[in-house]
Amino acid sequence: MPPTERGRVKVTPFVALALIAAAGVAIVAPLLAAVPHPSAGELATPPRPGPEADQQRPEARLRSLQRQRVEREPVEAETAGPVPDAHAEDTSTAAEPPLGPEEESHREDETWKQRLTRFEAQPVDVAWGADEKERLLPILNPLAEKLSGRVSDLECRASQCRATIDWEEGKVPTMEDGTTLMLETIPATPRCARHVRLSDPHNRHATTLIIECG
Amino acid sequence: MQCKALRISALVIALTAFVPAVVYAAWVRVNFRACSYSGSSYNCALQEDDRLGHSTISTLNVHVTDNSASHEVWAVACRQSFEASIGSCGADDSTSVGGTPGQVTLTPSLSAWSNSSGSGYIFVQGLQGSLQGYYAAN
Repeated sequence: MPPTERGRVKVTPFVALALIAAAGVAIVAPLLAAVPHPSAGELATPPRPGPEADQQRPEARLRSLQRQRVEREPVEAETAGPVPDAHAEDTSTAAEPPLGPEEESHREDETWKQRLTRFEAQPVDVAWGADEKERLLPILNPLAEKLSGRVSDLECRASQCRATIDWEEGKVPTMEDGTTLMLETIPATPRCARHVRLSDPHNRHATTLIIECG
Repeated sequence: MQCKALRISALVIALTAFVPAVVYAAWVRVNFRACSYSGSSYNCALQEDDRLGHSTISTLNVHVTDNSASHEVWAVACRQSFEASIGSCGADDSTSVGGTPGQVTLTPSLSAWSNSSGSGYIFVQGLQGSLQGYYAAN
């Protein structure tokens, strides 16, 4: 076999395969992105207002809508397996590296401030607030004592409560304490979201617990 | 001939770079053995990576067995900040006391995971043996 032919025999299939593969990817990829998800129609329904407003970014709003869909059909979603989604570009954030510690801390601070503002802006529902306090205090008081603290303030408004726990001198609260406060109040306030901040910037010996219901 | 083939290959690679990137859904299924049990609850660190960060998850199925007529099993999806000073948990989902014993899939709210900061974890309150595992997907 002459050298030129030998070269053609070896190289031509490789080039052809590479071209076919590239053409295939070029055709299939946009089609996959354009295929509407079977449940895309549900995306038109308005979102249920959740306790975490999620800053209402478009991608966050979409995620929220997807969650509602999935929460209604949990088992089907799993048995069917994950489907390449029409909105798959939304997951591209997953490939982004996480923020650095300082940026994350700044974002957490901002989110916490918004949470406090939401609580303080809420009107007071006297009946609801009294009921919730009555249910929370018998759990919170012994819980705080067990963790070497005391409940110095508990305020409940229309759908949210805020508790302040003051710690004994020298006690440095840990996330373990914060998690205990969040989780052990669940039986008193089921189906509510909860947030804890170990040290208040204005009072380093106080931990704030916010419970958001409805 | 080889030089021509190399040129064509380089052209193909260059063209492929312009194909729009498609990010496929990711999922993870975790057995209860990956979780720790202490007191009366399971604590499972969410297995996160660049394809399945907690803020991208749209499905969380927590598989539990509730064989107790007097105790419920509940699950919550939580998050703690990177420097561990702020924590959040979404609304819980639970089995019902006195309900039919057997396997149940709980779908706790993912609201705490809407913030991409920090790391996610799942907390399941129940008797030992009540957690089978969890499935998370985006």
